[in-house]
Amino acid sequence: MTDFTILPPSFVVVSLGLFGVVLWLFVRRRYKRMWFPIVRVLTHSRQKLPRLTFRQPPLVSFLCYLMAGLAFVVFTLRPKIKLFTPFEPNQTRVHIFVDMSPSMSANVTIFQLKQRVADLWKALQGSARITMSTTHGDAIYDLTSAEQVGALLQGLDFHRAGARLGSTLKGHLAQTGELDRLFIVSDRDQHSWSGFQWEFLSQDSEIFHVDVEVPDFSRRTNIFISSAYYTSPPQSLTMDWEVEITQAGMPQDANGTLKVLFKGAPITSVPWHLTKARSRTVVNVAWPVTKTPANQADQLLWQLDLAQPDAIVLDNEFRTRLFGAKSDINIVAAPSGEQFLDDPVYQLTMTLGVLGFSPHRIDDATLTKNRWAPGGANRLDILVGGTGVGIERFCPISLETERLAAKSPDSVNRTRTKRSKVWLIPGMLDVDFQELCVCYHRLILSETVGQGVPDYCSDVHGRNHWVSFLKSVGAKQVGGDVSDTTGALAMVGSDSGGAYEVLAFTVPLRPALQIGLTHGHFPTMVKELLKWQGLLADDKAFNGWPRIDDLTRELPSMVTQQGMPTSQILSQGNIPIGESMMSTIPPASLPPRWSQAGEINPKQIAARQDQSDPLPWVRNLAGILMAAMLIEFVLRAYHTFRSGAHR
Amino acid sequence: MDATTLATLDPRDARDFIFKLYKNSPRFSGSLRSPLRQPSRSPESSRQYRPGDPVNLIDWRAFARTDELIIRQQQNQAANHLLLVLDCRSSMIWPSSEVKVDGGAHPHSQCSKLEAAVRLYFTLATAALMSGDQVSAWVIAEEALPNAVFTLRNINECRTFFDHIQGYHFDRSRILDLVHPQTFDSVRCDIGIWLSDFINGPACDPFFRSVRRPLGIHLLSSLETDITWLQPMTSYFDPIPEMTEYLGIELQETMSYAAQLAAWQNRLRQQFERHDGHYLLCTEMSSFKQITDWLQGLLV
Repeated sequence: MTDFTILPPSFVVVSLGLFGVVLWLFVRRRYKRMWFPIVRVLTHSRQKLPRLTFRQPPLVSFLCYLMAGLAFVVFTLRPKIKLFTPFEPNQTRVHIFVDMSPSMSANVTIFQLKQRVADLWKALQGSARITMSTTHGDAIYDLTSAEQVGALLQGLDFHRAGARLGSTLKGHLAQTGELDRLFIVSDRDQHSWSGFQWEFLSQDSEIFHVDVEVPDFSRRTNIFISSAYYTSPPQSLTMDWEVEITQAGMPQDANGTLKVLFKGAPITSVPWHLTKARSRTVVNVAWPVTKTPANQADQLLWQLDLAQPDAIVLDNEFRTRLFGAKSDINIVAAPSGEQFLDDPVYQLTMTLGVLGFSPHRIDDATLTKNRWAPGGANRLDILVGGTGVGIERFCPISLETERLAAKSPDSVNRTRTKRSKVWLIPGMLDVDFQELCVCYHRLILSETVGQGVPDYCSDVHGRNHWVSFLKSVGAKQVGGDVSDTTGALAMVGSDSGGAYEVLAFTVPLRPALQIGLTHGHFPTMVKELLKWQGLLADDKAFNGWPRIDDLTRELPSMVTQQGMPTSQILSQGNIPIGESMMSTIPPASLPPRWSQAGEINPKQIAARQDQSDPLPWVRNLAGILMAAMLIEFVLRAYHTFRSGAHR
Repeated sequence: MDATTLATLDPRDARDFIFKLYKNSPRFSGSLRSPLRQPSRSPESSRQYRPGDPVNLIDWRAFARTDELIIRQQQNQAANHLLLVLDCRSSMIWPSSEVKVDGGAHPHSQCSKLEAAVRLYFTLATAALMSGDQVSAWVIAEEALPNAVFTLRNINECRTFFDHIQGYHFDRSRILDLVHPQTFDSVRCDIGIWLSDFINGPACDPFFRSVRRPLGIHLLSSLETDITWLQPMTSYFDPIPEMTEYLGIELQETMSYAAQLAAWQNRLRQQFERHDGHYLLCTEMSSFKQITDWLQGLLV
């Protein structure tokens, strides 16, 4: 046993006191002190951030926020395992989407494709409601038999335009609504699959890729015409073109012939050779302009004949517009002198020549009426008169006869829509506008042949009368201020069913200081007038032949811009280079490959993710947060009221 | 003269400073540059042309020779009115005799800020009077405003005052005995120089209102700018306005003394620059040449 001695309280007190004294001495240790006035400007370093304090939150609000937080956590969690629901034929929707872009033809023929899709249709038949669509357009087909599937695909055939599966399918899904399974029958062409975020669709439905790529695809070669450029200067008498022939895929030595066809008839053919070491070659082709005497709306067809097998046959045909065509323009004007300065249409003739037309000068229409055949669709005749030489010399009555003949009910040309364009131009500033009025009468207004000078033309003595007359007969103003008709450059008029569209100028069409038309502006103005009347190709709209990358997205705008019907663009458009390049994407980037002997149970299907629609969660969450705010507001108002009452 | 520091400066050294100004001045009537300019042929008053300069000041002959646009201009000088303010408050009487550095071996440990300020004060006054300027020599005793003046009409009075103060070892009370009390108001000057350690506060607003170009010479002791001499376990205090006390080791290691000193100087510099003025930090170890160079750069 150990004895414990209890210390007396006084000892404890003294000990504590001594300890305090020692502590006091330690604290009060005297330092040597010295005056140092500059410490007055020093500042103590303070803690910048306030100390964190814990305060117990209001219980109800805390619970509400806790529930909201838990809801957020639950909402962010996603089911890890797909749930499968029973396969119900009446409710399950299956869609087959068939890629029919040109690259598909490198792997399958249309017969193989229709067989493949028909087999797929048979395998799925009876287990679901099956719809089908292709890259041709937005049509959704609800077919009832495999034979109908085959017939449909064979009738459609591969299109020449490119297709982007993503954008095309987006339009289709807008019509089909929610799907349970989506089968995409396609190859692995990079151009078709680019931009297609199929993983996004896989959240709502199962997506399978029915791969049609052949095993030896990587060893195949595709040779195609990638571009053709018109290189002739405007005044050239030959049509010069540079055509680029490209090979994609496995390179090889190739040769063949490049044919040029115009309106179905061959113009020329040029041999070409492509070595294994080069991916492209440029072939120069030329022929006389006289071989293609047409307007610029016509087309050239370039055909590639190959001695070797080719992966895609569709892109061996290439179309371009016919550039450099020289349209004839008749200019009827009486010369007023030997020098070109005396010629009222010298600058106009030169301008038309520069713009690629073939102007033919006719001094006297009465002497050349046998050779001169006025009119014709999309033709331009320029009549310059009023110089006092007589109306028959520039505006023969044969024009009136032809117009009235075309206008008669039994005329075969009555239905034609494109009128011949006529420019009626005063030869000088101060001319006999009465002659011009009579000419306008013959071209537009007369009802019978040979009426002579109509009454309304007898009062047309000056330019203002001329403008007023044109306005009174319904001609529309061209140029100048809308509110001031006298400032008009010309007035355009035509009668219904007539042969001519007459552009009656109010000033001579030549550069002159009096009318404010400089030599620099003159060709530009004439070019714009020709473009406005559709006689000259618009640089933007007719720069090339249609080449559609994405059929669904670009086709509507193409139809608007080019003015060509849809069927023509689809059947005659050029193949996009992306389709011809034989480039593929790896299978890992594609949806799961469909195999008809696969492991997927056709009687079950993945549950659609709309069962885990986040909307109810979001609504619940919003409700909880609203309740929390309301409770906190009420509690605070209650406390405020109570504290106010206590005061 | 170049080796002269503020601790050993004498008003008689002002002659060299003034002589330099004379060399550049076409007229000797004062140190103030007139804003009026006129063409000159003197190459020493030439500079490169700047856009906006009057074209009549361009030396076209020089342009023909060198293809450079040279401006030759001369500006007349006029009498300057210089305002000098000497801070004689208690913080300027430091380091006091109790401050011992390395056992008292420090060369300027006995030169207080007040002594250095007085030496500079009378030297600048002498230089201004020699160059024909007028001088108002003010003193701050304890208040924030200057409240007393020296009557300095010529350089002889400057030297007399300085010799008297020096004879009493720059004693503050002797200095205050020599001045006349006067109210600091309605004083208009061209240049004002405020000599102070600024520990009692920055320059007052009446000073800035009175002078066209305020200059602040911040006079500290070299023992204040460099505190390596502090004893770690010695307490350094200042009782005004409330007791502030730090251990030497605390000042050297934990108080960011150098950064706080730089921030304080920056605040003072900004205060002068806000009033179109300039600021210079000096210690008793600074050379007089440094100050004259600074002043010449501002006055020329």
